[in-house]
Amino acid sequence: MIPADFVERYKDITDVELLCACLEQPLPKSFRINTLKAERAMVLERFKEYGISLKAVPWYEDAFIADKHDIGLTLEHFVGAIYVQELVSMLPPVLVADCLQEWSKVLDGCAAPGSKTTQLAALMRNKGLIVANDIDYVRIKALKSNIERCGVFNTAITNYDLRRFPNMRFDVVLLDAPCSAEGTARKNEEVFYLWSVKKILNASRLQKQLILRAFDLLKPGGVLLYSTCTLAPEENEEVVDFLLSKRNAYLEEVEIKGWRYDRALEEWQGKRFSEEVSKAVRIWPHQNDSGGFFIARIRK
Amino acid sequence: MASSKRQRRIFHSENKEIRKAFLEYVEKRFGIPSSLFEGRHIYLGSSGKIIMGPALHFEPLSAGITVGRLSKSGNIKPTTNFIQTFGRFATKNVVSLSKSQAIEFLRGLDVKADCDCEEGYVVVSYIYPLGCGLLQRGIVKNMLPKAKHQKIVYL
Repeated sequence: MIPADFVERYKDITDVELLCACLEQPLPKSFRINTLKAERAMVLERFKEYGISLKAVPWYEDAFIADKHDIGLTLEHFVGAIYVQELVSMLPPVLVADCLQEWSKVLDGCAAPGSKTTQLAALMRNKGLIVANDIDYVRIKALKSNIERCGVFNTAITNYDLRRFPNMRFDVVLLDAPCSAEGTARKNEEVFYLWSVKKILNASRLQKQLILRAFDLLKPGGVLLYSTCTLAPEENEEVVDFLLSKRNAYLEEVEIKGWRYDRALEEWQGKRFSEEVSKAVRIWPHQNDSGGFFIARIRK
Repeated sequence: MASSKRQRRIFHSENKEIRKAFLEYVEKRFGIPSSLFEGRHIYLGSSGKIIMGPALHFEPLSAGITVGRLSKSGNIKPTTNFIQTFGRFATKNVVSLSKSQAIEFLRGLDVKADCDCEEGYVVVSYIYPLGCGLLQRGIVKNMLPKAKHQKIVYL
């Protein structure tokens, strides 16, 4: 059941009827081919033999949408040749792919369960160094297991509160921040049972601290990719605006081929954001039949 | 940088002795060339875990992948994850299964082998390398961890 307050909040910034109708539909099943373990052509050939139809996407050659939901029961999943992952979740690594070199040092600040970490490793061809950090020791087990299953050798796992992460400098930092997760309502009904504006404001406070630390961990010229799977402007535009007010950061325009999206909001509930913020994008679930997402690419 | 959960230093320097022993073993046993592992470091973790990971200048909670285990007697056993990742480069001691045998193996059962492999650890393969087996008297003993035993619908 979608809360009335949720509908009220977003009715002026998107087509809320389409949004609500979409949130009640299941998500399409998508996965990416783990090129660290298997050849793309071979996996595609196998899926053809299984009678599972795949639809490619124009923005990432390893991502596919399947017409069956039980792709977790394929031999390819067992051997780690594919990784079941939501399409929007594949965007952050793709959007920093141009910055990844064989010698790059990358920090995934809130890494568990490791979808983006393992994707980064595939994009880096297992070279360089990824530090996959997560505050939750229990979730690190899932992270470790996915790293092992995907054949990722270039990763070190740490267990810090990112706000107190030791002084190191990275070429790229991914901050997929903990959030109210409104954009994941299609796969997790609990989101709306637990939903409240108070929860959004608490998340926003934490995200502001996290984004400052993540930015400080960048080398000069480095790139911070800030993302959330929520639609709440307090956790998105407001957090990026807060960083711009506190640090000498600037945004780079995010463009995603083949996706429909909105530019980030210029204002929310009477609060006006820096013009720079509109270089970020917000993806509404009904625009692409996906989850909801927000992405900002920030340069130091 | 010290890890917040564990203070034992494993990753501060590569274990050259273990590196030599492990790479020699996989080349001799499976024909997997050592050149594949250039740039990767090998560390010796707790309980004889042989870990392959990146070069590090700090002590993380963990790094890379456990590729093998060193027993007290000095024998090396490759892990399922190592075989699944590098088994495709093996040129010997590979047991190729039929589809029905693969189904049994993935459920955790031992399978009969009709091959000229040497006794000892083998790469068990069906389309992809599935994992490690122990060949003894014509039977491939299943070495898949119990958590990985499962019924695969599409294979």
